[in-house]
Amino acid sequence: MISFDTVFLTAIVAGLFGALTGLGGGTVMVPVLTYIGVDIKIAIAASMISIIATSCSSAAIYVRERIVNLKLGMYMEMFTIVGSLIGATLTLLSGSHILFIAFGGVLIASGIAVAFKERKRQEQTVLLKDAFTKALVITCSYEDRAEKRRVLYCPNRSKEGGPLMILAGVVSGLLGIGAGAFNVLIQDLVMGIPTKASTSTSNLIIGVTALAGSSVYLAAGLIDPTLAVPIILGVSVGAFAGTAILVRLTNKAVRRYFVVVVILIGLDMIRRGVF
Amino acid sequence: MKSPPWDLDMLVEVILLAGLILAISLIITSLVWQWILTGTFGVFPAIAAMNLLEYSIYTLRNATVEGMGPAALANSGIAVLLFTPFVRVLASVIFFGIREHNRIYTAFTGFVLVILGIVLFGL
Repeated sequence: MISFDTVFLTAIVAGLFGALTGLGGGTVMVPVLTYIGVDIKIAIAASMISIIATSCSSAAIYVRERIVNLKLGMYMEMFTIVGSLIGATLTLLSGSHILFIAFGGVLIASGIAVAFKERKRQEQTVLLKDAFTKALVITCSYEDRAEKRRVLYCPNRSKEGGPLMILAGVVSGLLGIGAGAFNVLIQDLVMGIPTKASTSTSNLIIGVTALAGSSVYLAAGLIDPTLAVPIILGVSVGAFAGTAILVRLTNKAVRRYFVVVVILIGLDMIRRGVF
Repeated sequence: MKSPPWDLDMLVEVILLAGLILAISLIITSLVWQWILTGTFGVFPAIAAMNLLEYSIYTLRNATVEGMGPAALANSGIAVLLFTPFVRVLASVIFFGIREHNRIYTAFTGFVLVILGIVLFGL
């Protein structure tokens, strides 16, 4: 039996690593738990619950700062919860080797997405709204305290961006991760939301998305409190520490190093799924 | 001086923080209690397959019939954590429906609430 201390310390490291890479604790938690002998489906279910905890803390902070686009988030949640239910159901139906391969693929894609996001030039969003987005009356600004200015932006193509969020929901429910990298990518590339607003809005969305997925795992009897309790605490501590470190981390190369490690873990997950 | 009116941001922030703090407090208390009783941390009975409503009733029954113990407290913490985003969605429906009279967002948040209600409570 795996000890409390082992899972708790593993969860702290996963939370720290997840915060430093910007991928969230679950992305690292699930592979690491499988390395110490936890069944991948149990690991996914436990990780899913820890996402709710990290979402609550980070979303509350971002909401206080008024960076979260609440209306946009609530519109997109309609799609992510449906995706999460589909994803979690697929996990129950899938064999472990398929989950290993899927997880590996998603880790690699997430790592590339984060790397791509860092390279992407911060473009001034064109202040245009399509008719559908106008009808949604979505807010178009937030106060950037770091830059000491009000950032104006205008979400576009909500009609396309919303349904695409089903995919992010499927990935989240399937693998027990927040799928924040995919949320942000869709908001950035399809809807033209600035990174700060999309990242904070993603933090709000992943809580409800994880709740939908957790409900499937709870109904299947996959939630193990012996595992869930240290993971909830450990990931929360690790994510808090990671966020504090990240504020002081100016060298982007360090973050890129972590992304490379995530991609390597992804390759190893695929290897474990295949062989 | 008159305090500013409540808006959705404040409502969401308070619900998320309150839920998280309560859940984490219950979980930490359960661990400390267990350590005092047994000298070890965090071995809890497995949960049978059930929805959140059944899980909450099971936890409450354990606490009232068998007496509150570390396992019931840990389960309560997990249940509170699971309820937190649900309460946030419920509050959003009420906010948009009653305070804002915003039909579009009442429908959006209402849709999320109904789906969650079905999967969490077997409605």
